[in-house]
Amino acid sequence: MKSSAIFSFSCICLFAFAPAIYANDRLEFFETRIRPTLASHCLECHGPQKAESDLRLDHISFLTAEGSYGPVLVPGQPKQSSLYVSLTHANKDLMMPLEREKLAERVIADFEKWIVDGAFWPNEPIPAAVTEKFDLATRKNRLPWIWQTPEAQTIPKLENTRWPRGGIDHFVLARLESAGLTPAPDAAPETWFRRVHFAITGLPPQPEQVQEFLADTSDQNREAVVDRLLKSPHFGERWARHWMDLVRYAESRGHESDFAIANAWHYRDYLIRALNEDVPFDQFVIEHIAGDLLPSPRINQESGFNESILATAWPVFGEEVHSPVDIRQDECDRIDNKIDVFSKTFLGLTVACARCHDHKFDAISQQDYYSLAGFFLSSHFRQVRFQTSLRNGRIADELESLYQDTQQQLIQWIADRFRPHLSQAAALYRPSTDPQHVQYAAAEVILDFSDPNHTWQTSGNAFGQSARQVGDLIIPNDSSTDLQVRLLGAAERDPIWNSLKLSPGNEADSGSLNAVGRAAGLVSTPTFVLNDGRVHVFMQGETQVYAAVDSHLMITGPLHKALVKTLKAPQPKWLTLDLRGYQGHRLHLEFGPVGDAPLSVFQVVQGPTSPRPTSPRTIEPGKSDSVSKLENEQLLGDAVDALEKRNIRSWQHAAAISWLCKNAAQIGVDSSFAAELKKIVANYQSRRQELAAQIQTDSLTAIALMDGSGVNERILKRGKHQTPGEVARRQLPGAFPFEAADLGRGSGRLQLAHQLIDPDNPLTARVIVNRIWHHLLGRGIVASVDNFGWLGSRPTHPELLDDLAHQFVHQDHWSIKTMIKRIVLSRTFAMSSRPDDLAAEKQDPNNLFVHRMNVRRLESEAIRDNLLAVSGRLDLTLYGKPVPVHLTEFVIGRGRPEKSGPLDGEGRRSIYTSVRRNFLPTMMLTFDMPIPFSTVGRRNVTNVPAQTLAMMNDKLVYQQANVWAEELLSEFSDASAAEKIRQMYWQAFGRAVMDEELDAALVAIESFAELHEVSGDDLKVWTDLCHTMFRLNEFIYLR
Amino acid sequence: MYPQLELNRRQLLSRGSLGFGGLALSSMFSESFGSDVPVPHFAPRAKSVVFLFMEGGVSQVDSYDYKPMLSQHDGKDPHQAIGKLEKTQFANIGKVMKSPWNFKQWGESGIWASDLFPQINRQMDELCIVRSMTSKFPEHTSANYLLHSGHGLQGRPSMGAWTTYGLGSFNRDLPGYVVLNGGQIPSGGLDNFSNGFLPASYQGSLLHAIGTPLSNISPNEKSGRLQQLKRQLAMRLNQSGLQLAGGADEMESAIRNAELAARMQLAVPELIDLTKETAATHELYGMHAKNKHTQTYGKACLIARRLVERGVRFIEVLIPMVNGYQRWDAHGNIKQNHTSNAVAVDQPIAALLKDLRQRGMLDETLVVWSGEFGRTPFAQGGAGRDHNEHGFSLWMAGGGIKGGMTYGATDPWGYKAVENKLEIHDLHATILHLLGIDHTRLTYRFSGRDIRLTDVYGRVVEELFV
Repeated sequence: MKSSAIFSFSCICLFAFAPAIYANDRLEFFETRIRPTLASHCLECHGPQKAESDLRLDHISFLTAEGSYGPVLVPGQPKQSSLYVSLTHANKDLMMPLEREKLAERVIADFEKWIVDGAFWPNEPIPAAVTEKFDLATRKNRLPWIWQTPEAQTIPKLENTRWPRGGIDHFVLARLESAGLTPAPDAAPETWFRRVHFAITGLPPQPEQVQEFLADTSDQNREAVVDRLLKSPHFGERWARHWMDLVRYAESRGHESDFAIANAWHYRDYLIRALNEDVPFDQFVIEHIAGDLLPSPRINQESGFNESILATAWPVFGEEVHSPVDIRQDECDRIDNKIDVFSKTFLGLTVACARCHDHKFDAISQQDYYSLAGFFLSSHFRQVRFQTSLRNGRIADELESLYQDTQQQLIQWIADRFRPHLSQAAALYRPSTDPQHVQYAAAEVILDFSDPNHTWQTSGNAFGQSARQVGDLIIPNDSSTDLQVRLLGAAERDPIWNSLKLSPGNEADSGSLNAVGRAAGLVSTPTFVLNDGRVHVFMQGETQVYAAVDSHLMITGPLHKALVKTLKAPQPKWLTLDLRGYQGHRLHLEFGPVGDAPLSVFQVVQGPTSPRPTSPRTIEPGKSDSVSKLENEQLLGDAVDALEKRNIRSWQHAAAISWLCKNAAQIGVDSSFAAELKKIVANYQSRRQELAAQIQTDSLTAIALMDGSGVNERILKRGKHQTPGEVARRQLPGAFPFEAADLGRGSGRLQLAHQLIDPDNPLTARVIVNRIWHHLLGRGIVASVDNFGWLGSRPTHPELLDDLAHQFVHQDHWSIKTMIKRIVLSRTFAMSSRPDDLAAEKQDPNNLFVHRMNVRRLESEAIRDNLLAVSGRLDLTLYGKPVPVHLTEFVIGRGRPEKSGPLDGEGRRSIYTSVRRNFLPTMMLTFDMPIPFSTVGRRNVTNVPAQTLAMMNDKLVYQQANVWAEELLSEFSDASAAEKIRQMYWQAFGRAVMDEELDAALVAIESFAELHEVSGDDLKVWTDLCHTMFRLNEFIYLR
Repeated sequence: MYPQLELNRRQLLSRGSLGFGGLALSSMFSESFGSDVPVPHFAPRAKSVVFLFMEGGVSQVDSYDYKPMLSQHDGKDPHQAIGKLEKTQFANIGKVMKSPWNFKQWGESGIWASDLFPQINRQMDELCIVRSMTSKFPEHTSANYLLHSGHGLQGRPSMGAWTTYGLGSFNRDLPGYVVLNGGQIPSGGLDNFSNGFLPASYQGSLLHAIGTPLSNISPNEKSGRLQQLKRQLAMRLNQSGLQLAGGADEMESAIRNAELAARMQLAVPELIDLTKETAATHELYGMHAKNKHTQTYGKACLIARRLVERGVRFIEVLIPMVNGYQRWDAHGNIKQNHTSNAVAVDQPIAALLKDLRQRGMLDETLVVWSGEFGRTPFAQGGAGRDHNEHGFSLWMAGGGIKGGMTYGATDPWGYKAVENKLEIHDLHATILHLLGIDHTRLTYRFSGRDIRLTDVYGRVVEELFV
């Protein structure tokens, strides 16, 4: 004991001796010049948290250990210390700080001096490592409940058993009782009535309806009211807008010129119909993720079109940049937005936080992020002729089977006719040269229709339902008997579909993309990576090709114009697309029609040089005759066999059959051959004509996804596309309780969709039920409706949420209307919002326990709709093209729409006003309509003077006051002023006017009349009164 | 529990008290809710910011970054002279192009600058010229969003919104963040001034230098008496509505908003009424200049000064429509483009600096002059220059900034920043710092993250401070 103390003491002495001042200098130098630099430039990656390359720089012991680049620090020897060398950037493989500017020379000189002087480091303990390695189990345990499937809950026991009407009330009251609180009294019937109207339809009740209801406020009648509202077509309009906030619905792409997203509005109408029909939410989710892939899509009952496919438009409502210089970065940003929207909307998770690193708090790894990215990379944008695609698809099927049947008939017939004449034929046969077959010198085959195992995609009908194979018969489309056999497989445009047209008013895509033009038919290659940059297409006819490099859509120059190009080849020919600016980028090609021009696509390859036909193989007459006759007979026999068995795979066999058909007469085939052939062909053509007559030629187009070939993204280290890492297989985040599904050849979205709606999925049902609660009560059970994770809010009523989610899935069959009905008929929903219980206000100022209802400000759309409804101007027409936004001098900027819409938006509900991303209506923004940049499940609710000014001075409000006054004066021309005022209160506030209000209004009328020097029933007077009513708080607040 | 999620009434009032959604006014009222007004993290050097946004991108090598090498190599192939070139927006790389302007040393500090801005440059000793600024995007909109909000896409709050969110305003009758529209709305539109996910009250209010000044500020009623009658009636009826609601907070504060709205209706016309400014002031700002764009911009700059006087926190001045939508975006003829734009802004900006100085306001007002990026040292086509985000110049003055200095440098071509390279995040961190805000502590929780203007970046460039 004693001796060690002496030892320590002597150590200190040694240090403290003469070099003490020196040590202090070195300490100061270290603390002011070295440690701050290490802390600000190095420790982020080489510190206690991260220790990249197993290196930490926060203690001398780590520095002097041997590193993978040699010793990190050799005191006295800067040039042997990789720390110093890396700072000097002398070795280009080891330049620190990584991907940042070199440190200032002065700083580097400090390090040199420090090392030369012995690398002084004060004596201090080694800081503990902060190991925050991503461990799924640990992360899930942080917030276990969100990863557990919601279960039915036991209804809690209560003291007050008379208050609850249903399960919801039990849970709410149990929470209140445990906090020693009591629920607020019931709201006045008219308050409940108004509340439920805005909640369900977003429109005010009619005065007669209020009065009728006040005569019978029984529970049965309340239920009847709710049923009536849920059946109203305006329910869908109200709730579609809620959903549009989630998918950042917009009809333009924002950015510099705010280019339009053509035909986006069909998605909005889809939502309204789906909600009105109460499409079960599981089906709704499937349609959103994979509506284009359903074997039996949901059919519109009225018009017979494909509803399901319309739901897939949502991924492309994001912002799009034209001419991004870093086109791949731009893609990464777009996909990031899609992942953000997807994960928040359907799962209440913030997966996008894991773009650059594992999620900081939740059970979501960086790999999970890139696993989702793959689904989007494998799914392409298209315009689809949704109104006719199903019916025309059936016609296309029939055309295909007609062709196959006819071909089968012809084949059998040809085989029977030719087989007896093969010997005769062999004597005459000269194997032809191969005019088309090529060597792919240094080329990589992207798509070869002669290979029956090729993968391709088509959309629309113009290219039929399948590609033509080698050996398929080309049935003449006139009365000729020139029967040909295909030597090359092809995707081929069938002219029968040239009758397809776009319905009037269909919008064209912005820029030169022309997806609308490809809606009639397109041929798509699998996704591939450009090597040399030149892509060669063997084709005949004319086509417009879209090269979807990095899924870039907004093509309008100055950059990327090369992505759309027209190719023309009167004869089969190799044509080259020069995409050398995009080497190493990912893309697929889409070939679309041009006018009525024919088109056959045979092969697509890439490489530096265009493939060339091999030199024609000729057989010298005489020399090989004697040998070749036997060979020929063998060849012709094989060809006929193969034909009969429908497995011609080689061009030699195909050529042989072609030759036989052409030379039928010479080889002694029956002279009736031609006549019979004509008959079969004529029959074929007439049946095709019958089918052609059934084609629905006119259609609008809508946005939809098209499945591509399955592509997995790589984990991009630190989120940068320049540093790709391991492949991340497409799947839901690993925290979900699902095995990896077999994704097949396509994107795998259908499998993804099924996992989302799996009853074991812990989040899908909880998230939507919580959203419904949020919209009805003003705050979700989980307040952060888009984020159930660590940084979100904890549920105020977890058992209630789980019980509702369980009922939603297992009892309600995912019916949104049933859930809404259950909530609005609860006693909880019927409570008064008056903060009369002062003790409760003190204990629960934010009303987290739901001891009363919340006072709600109406959303921007509901405020405007309310204006129109009360004034009588509201046009309740459903659906259709958006009404252009009314342009004022405050709705300005580049890409401003050319024409302004009318001030009153044609009287239509706000959901029909055009959503031009950069030109949102001022009044809507004033009342917190969100900018559509990403999911906003919970809008801001501000309470600011600008709103008062809007209701005071906005031209629309003034205009509608005038409309309302005219309506009042004409409809109630005989009524007294007091009667009119009573009516106004019923109309605007859904309640009877109180005496003092009536008095005040009557006095005001006199003053207005006096001021205007007119009589008390003058329009001006009443306009002023109506205008004042609109600016009352009660007009925009729900009690 | 989670403060941003569960704002109670008092917080709501203090955070989002005034505001005009869309184009709107925001401000704080310190009188009524003194204790809730946000306080700076430390003593501010500047009370207000005037941001002179040179949209389109002024060429650094023709203004503040003198590069004799360009004259020496004028007309040469830049691939050979300069070496490897980055991709450009228009992919139309011409020859190395010397500046059509003459350079000389200005002021006592002797800083080199061209004669593109002769009047501004006469106050060179007030300016701190940063020659090593960089952006991340060579496209206008992304670069505009980055410059304004620290992020290249739509949806983030603008720096003015962050400022008012962090500091509130000294004036309760005017917005805290005003965008003076000289005519040119930048690429990306009004979202450059967006509140993003912050409450709508922090949105930039677009104030027109010409025409109706502010959305919904002008009453429909022709007579003041009628306005008053309506206001009185509304007050009475709102009181009875409030009783029905049991005095609910939301309704009560909405009533208070009505009073504030009425005051704003008076404050805005008073603000833009320039008749009380002296003839000398009008003259100084160029409001009688021959060029009508000089007049417009002069008016905007003068209103900017009046806004500073009234305690408005963040003022952005937009350039006039000199050549249609061309802005400073000189792809074709840089001589013509930059000359006509400079004529519009040179005198008014010089006037603003002088005026602030002579009124003793410059030391508390940070003036920032910048485009979203610079331009290439080589030509685009024949006589234009393409976008260049790798290195460009901006200047700051007043508000704690050291005048008469330069900071950072580009390579000998003026192409890429090589010395003391700065990012937009550093600019933001520095501006916030001068206002007394620690950029790492000004956060707002939005769906799962505490987000800040500078994201995870940003360095306060203290070297620029007095």
